[in-house]
Amino acid sequence: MNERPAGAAVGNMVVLITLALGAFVPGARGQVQGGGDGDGVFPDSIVFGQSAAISGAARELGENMRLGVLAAFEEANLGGGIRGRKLRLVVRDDRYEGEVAVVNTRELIAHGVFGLIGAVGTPTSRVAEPIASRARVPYIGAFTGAALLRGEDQRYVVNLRASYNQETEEMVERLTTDLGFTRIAILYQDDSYGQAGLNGTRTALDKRGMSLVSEGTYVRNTVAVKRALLKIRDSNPQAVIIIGAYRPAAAFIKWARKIGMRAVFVNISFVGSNALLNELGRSGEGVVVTQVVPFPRDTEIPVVTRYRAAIREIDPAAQPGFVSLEGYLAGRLVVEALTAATDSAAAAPTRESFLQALTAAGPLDLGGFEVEYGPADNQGSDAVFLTVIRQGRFVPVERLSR
Amino acid sequence: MTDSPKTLDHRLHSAFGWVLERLPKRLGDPVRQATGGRFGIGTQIVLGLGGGVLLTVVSIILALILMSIVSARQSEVTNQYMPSLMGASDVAQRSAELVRATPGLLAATRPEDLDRVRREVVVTENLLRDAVKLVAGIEGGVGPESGVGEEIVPLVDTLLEVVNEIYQSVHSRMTYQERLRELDVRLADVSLRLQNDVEGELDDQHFFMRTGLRDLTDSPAPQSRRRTIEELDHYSGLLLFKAYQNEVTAQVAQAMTETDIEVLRATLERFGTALNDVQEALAAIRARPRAGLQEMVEELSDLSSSPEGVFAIRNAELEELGTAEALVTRSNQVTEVLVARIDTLKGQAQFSAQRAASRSSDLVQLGVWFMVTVTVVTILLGFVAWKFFGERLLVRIGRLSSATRQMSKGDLDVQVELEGNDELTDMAGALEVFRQHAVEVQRLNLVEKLAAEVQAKNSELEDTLENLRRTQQQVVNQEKLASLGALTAGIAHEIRNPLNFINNFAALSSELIDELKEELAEATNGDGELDREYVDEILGDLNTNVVKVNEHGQRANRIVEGMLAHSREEAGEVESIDINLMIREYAKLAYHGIRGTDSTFNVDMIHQYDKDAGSVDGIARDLSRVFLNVITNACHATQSRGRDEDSSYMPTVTVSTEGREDDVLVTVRDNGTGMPDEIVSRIFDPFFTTKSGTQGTGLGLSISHEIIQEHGGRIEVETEQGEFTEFRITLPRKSYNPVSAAS
Repeated sequence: MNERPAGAAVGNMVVLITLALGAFVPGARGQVQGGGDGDGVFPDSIVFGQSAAISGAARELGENMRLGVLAAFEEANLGGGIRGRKLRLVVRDDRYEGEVAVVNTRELIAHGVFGLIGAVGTPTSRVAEPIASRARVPYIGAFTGAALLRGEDQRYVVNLRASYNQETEEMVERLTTDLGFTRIAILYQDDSYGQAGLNGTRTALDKRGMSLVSEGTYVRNTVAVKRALLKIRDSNPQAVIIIGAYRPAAAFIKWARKIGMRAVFVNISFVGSNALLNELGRSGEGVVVTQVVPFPRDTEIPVVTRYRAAIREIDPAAQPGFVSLEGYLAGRLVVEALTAATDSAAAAPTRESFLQALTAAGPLDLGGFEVEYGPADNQGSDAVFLTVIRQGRFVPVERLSR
Repeated sequence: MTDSPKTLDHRLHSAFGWVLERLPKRLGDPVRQATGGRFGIGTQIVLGLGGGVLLTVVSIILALILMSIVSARQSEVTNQYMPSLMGASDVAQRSAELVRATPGLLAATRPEDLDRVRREVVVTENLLRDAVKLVAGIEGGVGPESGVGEEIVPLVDTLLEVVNEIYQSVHSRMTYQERLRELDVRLADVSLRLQNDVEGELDDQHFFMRTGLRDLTDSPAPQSRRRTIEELDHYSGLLLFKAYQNEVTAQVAQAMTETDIEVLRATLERFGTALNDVQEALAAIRARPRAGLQEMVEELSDLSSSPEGVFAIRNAELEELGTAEALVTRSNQVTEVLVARIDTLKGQAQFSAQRAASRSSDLVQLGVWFMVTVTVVTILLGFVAWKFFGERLLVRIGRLSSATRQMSKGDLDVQVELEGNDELTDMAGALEVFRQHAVEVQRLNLVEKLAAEVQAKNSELEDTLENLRRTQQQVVNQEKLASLGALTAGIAHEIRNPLNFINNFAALSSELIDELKEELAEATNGDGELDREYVDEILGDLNTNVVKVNEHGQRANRIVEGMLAHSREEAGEVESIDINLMIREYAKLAYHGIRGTDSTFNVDMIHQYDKDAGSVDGIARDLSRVFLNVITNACHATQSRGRDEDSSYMPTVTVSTEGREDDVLVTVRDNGTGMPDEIVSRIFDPFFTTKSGTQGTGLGLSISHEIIQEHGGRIEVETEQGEFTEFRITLPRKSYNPVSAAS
């Protein structure tokens, strides 16, 4: 990758200084004390960094991740912090671009952050994570289900969400079990993201001795899905798994309905649920989207209730969403692990003790959302949640039904 | 050195004196004043150290002169040849660096890289210019090298020019590349839009031809309208457009990466063909998307084939690349020539430097030899100086010291002799004076001591003398007593006769008295008659007896008186002595004296007295002692010989007198043991005796000799061992010196 000079990136970088304190890092580097050499642990605070898309096409994802993490941190700080240490978050905008993410990650680590949290996207994580791992800085709760963050030896990576493979597995499981479908087709974007979904789907079907009835693809950044639609329609599928962006996905669904296809359309979480909903309009009825976090309006889940309260503390106008909930859960995870890693106020947590606390914790209930890490398992949750659009709204469901 | 120290010192000091005498007055006077005109220790030390210092200074000065010469040679090398050499090396090195740096210019992919490399190149260029200036600056003075230097400057200028051109070329290329990148972005954008639009149009057209639907809101068109010629043309136009547009994009992509300018031209031709094809395909496309596509195609065409398009710029870039390569070749050629010229320059400078260095090396070697020689000479001179001054000084001081030590131990016989004329000589002289004083003092002490000793000895001797005198007196007394003892037996014998007479006559008288008494008693008591005749006869007998008793009594008295006189201490009185009578009497006394102690002793004593012997004046006591002594000795000699001889031996002592007119000769001769000569010579010595034990005092003959001398006489002896001894005593009739008799 051709690295750009730092000066070029600075102009594109928005440094968001969060919380009441307007300081990047409390105290100069020379005053860093406790917890090791510039590891973000200070007498009164523990500092985390976030490099995410705060601007650009993926802006909504980054902002919601930040909102969720901040909500969790602020909630913990109101309760006294981690045994007296307040949690702080330093956010830098990477515009969903790998190069910028690299620069941000390097600078954040150089300035001394305890960990990196809430990155958005596969292309950014793919280049940022190796930098963090080399610096032995935890890379926590990235908003991606890509397998490349889920290697057994990636012990500095702390994934919260289930993988794309698990989502496609869940899709196939539900379609075959709940609905008894045998004819499943796929529409995927002609890039690595789509390829990942395709692979997951094929694996799930292979497990069941099945195969795709047809595969349709479309060119990224286009809505040229109609030839794929015709191809898929010709195979007469009972369900179509869509690994794509919300616009081509919505176009596909709408044209499918137009030409009278009566298949179940199942989207993966990264599709962008709200955008998809808006794009589909009335055509959205019955469209399934798999989620990796609980339904953000499901107040029966304790952690969701806390989440809703927490984001309102940050922004009274904030609406609950899957992305900000995921950010909140990542934040909660950090709070729990840090608390476990800090025996007393005198004993400052270290990155290693933090990771150790996570792997040693066993099943960790974040309040209706359970995570569990192990020595060779850096993914906390395997949970995939189903949501279905009903009357213009997402509705959480346990099972699919006709 | 010890064999001739005096000579050496003497010579040294003489030499100094000699030198001093011959010094010119102006120099000589202060020297004489400072040294006191002699070769003192100070002068010696000053001369020794001064000589060493002088040698050192001289050698240092010579070394400095040599060093300055070497330094001059070295600086010649440093200032003339080394700069040439170093400058040439520098020029070569910088040129090589510059040439090496040019690929960096060529390899730069970004303006920043180029600028960085350019900065480095400029630094190298400046260094090269400096190096060239240095060479050009100095070569004028060197002479033979100047021609080469003149060649180098233009070569370097050419090289710098070429390098600059390379930079300009690369810079231009970089500008082209920057523009190409911008074009690439825009081309990619246009291509993507074209692609996506065509993709969408194709998708739509394909979908319409299959389903009769164009919009979600439309109702499906009837089959007759889906596959009309027009729809098919549109679809195939789109397909062709897509294909040609891909070809166009591929050719542009090819142009972007093509490095061969000829191939680039071919690519441009293919691009033109493909663009024409795209235009033709576009003509078949329906008007609605065509306008948009047309616009994008024109944009694509502009970005690609216009004078400011990819192909033109790419072509210019490649041309620039060719220029740069040619420049690099040229720079390499220039560098080759330059390096060759520099090598020549270096060779010449090196030769000159070597020559100068070799010359300075020769000088250094000369200096080394010189220093070695000076060092050896210094060591030798130091050794000589040590031998002549130090060691001599030490030896002399040692001698002085040992002399002083010996003197301090009391040995004043040490002679302190130091030749020369310095402080040591002074000290030696002083020591000698001191020694002589000490000797004098010692001598005085000795005299005093001796005087005291002599005094003591004298008094001791006096005491001894006194003791001796006393002893002598005692011995004399003893001798007297001894002779008295010898007399006693004789005297006892002499005295017994009168006593016997006295006793006999007394007894006879007593008997006569008894007879008288008886007669008288008978006369009274018996017949009454007195026989007168008988009485008278008795009385006559009595009277005769008494006279006889008286005679013998007086005789005894005389004997006792004689004995007393013999032993009396006080000086005897000079009287006239009947020699024959005295000799006869004392011969008898001597004989009886020995018989008194040895009853077996017998001797035939022959008396041959001259009737005319008469008398002599003398001290009877002393002379009687002489005669008694001589005759007793004669008797002892015969007695002694008699013990050893058989019975045939007849001991004989002949005593004879011979009266002469003025003197009397008394001879006493025995046929005893005689005496050997060695004894004869000593018989008159006091206390000499041959007799053992208490038989003699050894003074007898000594006193006799003395007495005879006192009487003015002589005593002589003649003897033959085992035959005889004869003493002859000559006594003057009236010659006794009463003065000497007192001793």
